[in-house]
Amino acid sequence: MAKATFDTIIHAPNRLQICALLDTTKELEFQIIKEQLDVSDSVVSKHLKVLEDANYVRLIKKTEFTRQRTWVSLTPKGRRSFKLHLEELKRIIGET
Amino acid sequence: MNNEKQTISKEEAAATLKSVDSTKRDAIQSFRIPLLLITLISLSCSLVVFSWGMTEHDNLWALGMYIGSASFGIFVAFYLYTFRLLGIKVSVLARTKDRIKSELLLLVIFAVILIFGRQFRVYEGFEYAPHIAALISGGFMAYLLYKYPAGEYLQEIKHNG
Repeated sequence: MAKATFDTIIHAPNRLQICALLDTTKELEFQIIKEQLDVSDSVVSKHLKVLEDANYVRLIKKTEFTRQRTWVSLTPKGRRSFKLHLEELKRIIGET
Repeated sequence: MNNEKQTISKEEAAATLKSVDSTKRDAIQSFRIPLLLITLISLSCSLVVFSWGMTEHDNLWALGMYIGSASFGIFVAFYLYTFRLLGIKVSVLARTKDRIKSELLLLVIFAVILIFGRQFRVYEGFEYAPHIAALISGGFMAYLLYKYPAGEYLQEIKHNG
């Protein structure tokens, strides 16, 4: 069983929220993440870039009905890291 | 970098967990299926259970099963498609062990309701068994779709720190 670890990449507030959002679905469109976080495009892009560089999220650009859409999803590594990060937070507060 | 030793206070950890929980709850609420679609999916489910309970060699209730199954599939596909257009791809297949367990349990519950609805009528002579089974399965389906649209059970965070 993997050990719970504090992940500084995930812990940044906006990135944590992005991971929490993505954890509830298979994939989300960039615009939905932006609306849920209530921040600008550039802020979302910046955080997604950090998560993508760490191989925590996957970005796929697709043209659907003549409209360019960017789908974002958590990679297995990202999903695992997010889970372990939450476990570490629970360990800190003494829940586990 | 990501695994570097970092210490945060208990209060900060609790606040972070609460914010994750609230983000997930808000997201799940905004991903909720429209009530009309919940009703249609639940009614289709009820129709399948009821028709299965009433089916005999000399009646046409088997047709209700086919119509119910087809409409159930169509409404679920419609729900997945509209959400996709909105920018949300719902995860249909279970990813985590907890979700696999809960989905298997739900499958068993629905199977038991389906089987008992028929068995009680055919072997015990209880005429209203299919009606009750259909009501329970439809109501349970509506509850699950309304309460857990993303298929995820979120435990309430009770820590106040």
